[in-house]
Amino acid sequence: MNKKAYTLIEVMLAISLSLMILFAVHLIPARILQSFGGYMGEVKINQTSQMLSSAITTDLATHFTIDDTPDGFKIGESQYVFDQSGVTRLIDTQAQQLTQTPVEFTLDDEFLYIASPEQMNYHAQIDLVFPLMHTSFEVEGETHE
Amino acid sequence: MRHNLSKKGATFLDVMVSLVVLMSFTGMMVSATRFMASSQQQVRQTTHYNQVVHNRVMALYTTPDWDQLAEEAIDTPDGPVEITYNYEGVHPIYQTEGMTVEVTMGSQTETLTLERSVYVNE
Repeated sequence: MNKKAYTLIEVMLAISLSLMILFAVHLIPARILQSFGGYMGEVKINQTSQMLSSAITTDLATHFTIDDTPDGFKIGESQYVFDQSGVTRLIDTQAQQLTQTPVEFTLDDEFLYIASPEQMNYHAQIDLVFPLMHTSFEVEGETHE
Repeated sequence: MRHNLSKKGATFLDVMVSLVVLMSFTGMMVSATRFMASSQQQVRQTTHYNQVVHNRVMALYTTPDWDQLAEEAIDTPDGPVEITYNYEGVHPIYQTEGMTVEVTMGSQTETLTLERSVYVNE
């Protein structure tokens, strides 16, 4: 191998190494941060689901009346407020932030449905159903048994 | 007898060591990325699984005839959750009926034990 060929191989090696270093320094940490963001998002959805399920199940087991309120509903003494910042559970003067992502609810005579808004990622959906058996549901003074 | 490396040999060795260090670093980063992706998938699957179990157990307590329940599969974005019911009959003293519910998603299996008063059917 003559000197020119050897130099050419050296240059090629140097370019390849430089490209690999650029790839390693820029792309991989960015991808890790991106994955971490996605992971934390999933953890948040999981926590949201668990917190909502636990709080509402506990309240439904100990109280037997659900009242429809303008910004949510009330189970016994616990008032659930749904807005763009998430769901807050108010008991007396104490406020407990159950979720930090917006969630929607639907209340009918038989079930309470809690779900993520439709525009949210399909894979990160909250979808909880609570039967209202043994409770009475009140809307503006009207009672459904 | 000592041998000194020539300049070219030293450069070659430098390049090889750098290459090994770089490859190790890249390998670690790729492993970390894969770990994050698999953890994310696992958390997502757990969320779907927990929600399906929550909704099914809640629905079961409003289902009148536990002895009539048949095996079923509920679809989730991460695959089906298979549910098998095993009715255990009525307890003669406490007047409660019991049932074990076996929930399977992929390789994960969980057995739940449910019990309620028989008067709920009346």
